[in-house]
Amino acid sequence: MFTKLGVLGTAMAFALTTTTPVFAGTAEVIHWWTSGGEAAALKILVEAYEKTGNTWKDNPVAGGEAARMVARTRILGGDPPTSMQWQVGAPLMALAEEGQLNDIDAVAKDWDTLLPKVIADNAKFEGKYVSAPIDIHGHNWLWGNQAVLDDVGIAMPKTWDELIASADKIRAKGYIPLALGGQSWQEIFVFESILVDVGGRDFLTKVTYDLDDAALRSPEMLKAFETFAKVRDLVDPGSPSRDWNITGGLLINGKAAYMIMGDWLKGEFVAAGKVPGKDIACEVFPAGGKTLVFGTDSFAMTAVKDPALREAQLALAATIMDPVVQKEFSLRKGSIPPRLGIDKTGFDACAQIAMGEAAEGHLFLVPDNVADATSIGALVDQMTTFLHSKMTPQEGVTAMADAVAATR
Amino acid sequence: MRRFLQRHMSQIALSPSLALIAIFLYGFIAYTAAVSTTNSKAFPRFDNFVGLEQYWRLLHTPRWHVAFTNMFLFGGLFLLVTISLGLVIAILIDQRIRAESFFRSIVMYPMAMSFVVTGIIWQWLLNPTLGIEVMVHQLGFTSFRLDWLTNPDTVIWALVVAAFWQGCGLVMALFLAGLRGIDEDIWKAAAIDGIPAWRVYVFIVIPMLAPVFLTVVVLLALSIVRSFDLVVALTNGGPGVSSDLPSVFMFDMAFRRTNLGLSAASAVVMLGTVLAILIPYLYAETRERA
Repeated sequence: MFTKLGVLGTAMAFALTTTTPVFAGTAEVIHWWTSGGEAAALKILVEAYEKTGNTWKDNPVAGGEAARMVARTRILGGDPPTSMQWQVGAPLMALAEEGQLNDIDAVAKDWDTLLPKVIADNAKFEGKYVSAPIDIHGHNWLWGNQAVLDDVGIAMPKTWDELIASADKIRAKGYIPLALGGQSWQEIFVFESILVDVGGRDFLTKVTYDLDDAALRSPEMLKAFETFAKVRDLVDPGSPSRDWNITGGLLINGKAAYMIMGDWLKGEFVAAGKVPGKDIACEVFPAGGKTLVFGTDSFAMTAVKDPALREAQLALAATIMDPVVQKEFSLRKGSIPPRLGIDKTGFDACAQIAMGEAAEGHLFLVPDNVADATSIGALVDQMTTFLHSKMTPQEGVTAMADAVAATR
Repeated sequence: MRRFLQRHMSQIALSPSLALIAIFLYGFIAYTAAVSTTNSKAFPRFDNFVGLEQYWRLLHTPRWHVAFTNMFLFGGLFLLVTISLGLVIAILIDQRIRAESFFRSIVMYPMAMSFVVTGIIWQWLLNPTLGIEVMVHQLGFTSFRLDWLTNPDTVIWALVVAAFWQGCGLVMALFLAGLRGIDEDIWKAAAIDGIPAWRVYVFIVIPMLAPVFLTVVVLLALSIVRSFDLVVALTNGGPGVSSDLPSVFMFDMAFRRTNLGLSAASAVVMLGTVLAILIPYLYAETRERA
């Protein structure tokens, strides 16, 4: 299938190159920002870029996977876009190792001092920047409907033990304790926060980055699975396979007390007229874990040769890192800027917490961007299989460790 | 020259499509098989030959076992349910009933829906918090449970029901055409001999429909192997990975997990399985008729 698409992509790429001449100073950018808030944020970037005298040639593709597939086929066909949205870390390195990226060090001299170390390290290949990060989204957020919490008479929990202990009180009042969309990409946020809860940041590193066999079979892991097994009782019967935004509705409409989801959920609050940090309480969970698991949207710079395109690329990188662009972009997208030292005014309470975590070096890059995709994928498969089964915690530990071991 | 053209016209006319099939079908099957012996990640690369390692890995991936078993479970149930009920409906409609075209249309209409639409419709109907279950609760039967979609043990039935709903019309139409093609004299002879209608169906008419069965089985078998969109729309493989099919696994490995080697290996195993089932069946059926 891939090969067929590859040929198709080549054919399409050929058609593009022969019909549309490339003008100097035009950056063609593939991205997947098509929804309302995303488009408004992108407009900030596009306008700032066009002020530099270059032209932005928009190439939006709905859906991250589809967009990356288009970009990849374009690259395979020998006609890469000037730049494209691409995750930092391992996926970026895979491209760089194929020789498919240009460095942007000409404009990135001082970026090491401007970016959190984890982002800087993962946006560089052989010490040179190949990608420009524009936003940060945190994953392990615990959201609580304040009205529900008040009605039950509880405060936001700080640990998983506290959260589970409060479940009976919440249920007694007729609410769902935890709104969870039972799809593996949503469940992993819950699992990761449990890993931090039982073993801290180091344990999360060992399990999700190193996929260390000893850690995967350790007593901490068993404890994590014991907690994770209790999540089965915290959710409602409609949870399996439910989409995240519908699940968010349960929290926003006061049917559920808590939800663990990335900060893009704030967009749903705002659309429903709720204020993040007030109507919907927020907390990086577990509190005091010194770990904000995050993903970053970043623009990779492809290996274009044309000097005019090269200039357009460097101008794009400089625009992305511009402090005004970084701030205005994140205000509209609901993210936080990767660039450190941006003035916090105008950001909501939750974003301000996240900016504080980033400044203190608590960022933890999402394992998908670090670990081998097949190994971490096997972990995710077993995590979700466990949650939707009646396996005992010990069975869950063994099944996960075995599945991960088989991918080596 | 003219004689040459006359003699070889059919070959010349066919050769472009033969060439296309050779490249785009068999060529890429070979290419996929070649990729499956490499350690390719995001891009196909042939400088890292690993032999059959990807197949070994596949054998040790629990999710592949789920997907592979599901294909037989889903396939078997879907074939059984769709063929038996499709045949029964065809026989009922064949009774020269009034408003036949009305009933025929009812059964045929779902066929006009794509699998994606079918999947979304049934996802809503079977959702325990907003579908049939809620409706029955509102009618007063509060102990009613319909958790097929959210229970890993029964989710395959949800797939079967949706696929049956969509595929039943086609099967019914094929059987109906077969039934209409049966000689009236057979019925008259049976009536003279005083044989009850059900026995005529079981021992005479249905065996005469064997060629229709072949067509139906081949068509349904193809839709089983292809059924990717239905799973993605209806369950997306969930809950957990319990409703995964090999096609979903293959797609996930290729595009989400960027592991082309493993993905290609699973594609080759799928192809092998289909051939292993279809070739003997086609062989037997065509020989019988010849």
